[in-house]
Amino acid sequence: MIALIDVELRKLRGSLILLLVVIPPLLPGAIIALAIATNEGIPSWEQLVGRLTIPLWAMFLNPTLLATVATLMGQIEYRSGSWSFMLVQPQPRWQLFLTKLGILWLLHALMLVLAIASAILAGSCAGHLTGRVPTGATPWTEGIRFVAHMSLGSLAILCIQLWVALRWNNFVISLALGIAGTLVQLAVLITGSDQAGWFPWVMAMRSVLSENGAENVRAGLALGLVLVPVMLFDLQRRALK
Amino acid sequence: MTAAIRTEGLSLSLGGRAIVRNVDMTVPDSGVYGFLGPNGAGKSTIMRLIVGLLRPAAGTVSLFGENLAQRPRALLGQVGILIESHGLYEHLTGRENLLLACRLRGIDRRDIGRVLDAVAMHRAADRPVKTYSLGMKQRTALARALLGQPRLVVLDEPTNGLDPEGIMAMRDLIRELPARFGATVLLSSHLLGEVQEVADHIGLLRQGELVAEGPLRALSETEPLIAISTDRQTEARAALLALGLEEDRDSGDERLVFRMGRLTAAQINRSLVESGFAVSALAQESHGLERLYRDKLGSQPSFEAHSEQENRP
Repeated sequence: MIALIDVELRKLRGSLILLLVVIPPLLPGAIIALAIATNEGIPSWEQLVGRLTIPLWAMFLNPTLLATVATLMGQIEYRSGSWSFMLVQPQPRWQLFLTKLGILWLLHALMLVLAIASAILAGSCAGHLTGRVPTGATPWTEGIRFVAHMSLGSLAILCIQLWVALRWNNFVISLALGIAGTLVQLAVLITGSDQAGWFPWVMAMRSVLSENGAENVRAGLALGLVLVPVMLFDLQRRALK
Repeated sequence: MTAAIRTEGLSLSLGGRAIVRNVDMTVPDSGVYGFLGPNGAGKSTIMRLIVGLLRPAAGTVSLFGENLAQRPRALLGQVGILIESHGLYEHLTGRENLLLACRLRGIDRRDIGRVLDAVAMHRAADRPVKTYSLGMKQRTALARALLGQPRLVVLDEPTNGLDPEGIMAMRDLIRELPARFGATVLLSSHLLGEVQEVADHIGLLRQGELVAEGPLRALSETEPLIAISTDRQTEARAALLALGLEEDRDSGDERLVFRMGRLTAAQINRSLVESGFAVSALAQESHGLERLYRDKLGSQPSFEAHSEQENRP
């Protein structure tokens, strides 16, 4: 298993995945710096993190980035035609797919940390440079809560996205699923519907945007833990190529 | 001697259609085994079955005398493969690709130098694979298959897409593998010439069925042919038939092609000249493997038949 983790991490070197993991999470920070630099008033951390960074991430960046990173992880094998090489290695196949899921989860957590860290650092730096330091306590605790909730609450969509990305060679299927999930989630948010609480994308979003976030975290995590063995069972039976 | 590969009753159906039919195949534990058949005959599918990438609907695969289904990981650890495409990660360097294989198989990374030398890829090994030509990619993939001294190397159409120079270099390399690396090679190809040049044993495949198998020499030994051009072909044909020679009508040749029987080329020539024919060309030929291919895989090759084969899944 350690060899597999090592190999899967090495595959990321020089790949588009790393760019995607590092660059887009800096977007909230860039928006915050711009907002402080161009607005007269002094913002609060609650506005910058609670009402800008976390909603931006939960509603839009989280589902779209997860879909894209999972798709690229699948395409690493499909584009190079390397399934036949990977699947005849001495490690059991389920370990290979579980490792990929673990790496995706790790990358997701890294994106969350970068997003929240970039928001806080950008807010602090821009505040000191312009003399408009955000009011209130620096939201490190909220940041940690955001990373934990989003990471655990997204396990179900993470699993579904990776499953689809590895299962089908066609990257359009995986991306379309991600877009569809995002649109449904936004529709639920806009309409304020109580329905669709079971929808994995909605669970992930509500894990940081609703008052009963912890409940949604548990639901997303539980659904994810159910889906993982099903995904492993299905993928190891497939003749991927 | 234990066979490197033995399949018994190997069968596979996809979508209700038989793709591999009851294949009993024996690859001796030495030399190069050429797996020959038209596109779509099922060569790649059988290779995928042999290395465990597909599960057979019926039958067994044994590697080195042991059932693959019982000890898949241990047995596949002794097999190097290059199936369908090079399968290299293009954003990584050649050396990094080999390193991944070393990590997965627990092979000492010092082995990388040895295999890179073998395929003459040492100088380009630290460049990203995306900058390689197709020939370089195939050589690097072959190097990866050779890591850790495998007992068996499975190569699926390794010369596909290569330029003539690349094809020749790859053939030389494959021919050397048994002696230099001690590996048995299972090579698939739809090119007669390729198999004829490198293989010691062959298996002929038609529509998922193994229709002939054995040492190349024994299978391709046939009566020699003589091809003749004269000033009057029709009358010359009659004269040759009168000599008791049997015409080879399968050759598809504009020349008169006859089985030589007990006569020598000199005797046939003398007979024609004495009968007043001006013989402009006379050549003794052997089309052993080609003839076997025609006999076993159908009569005259046609584009229609070829297309039908290729359309099979």
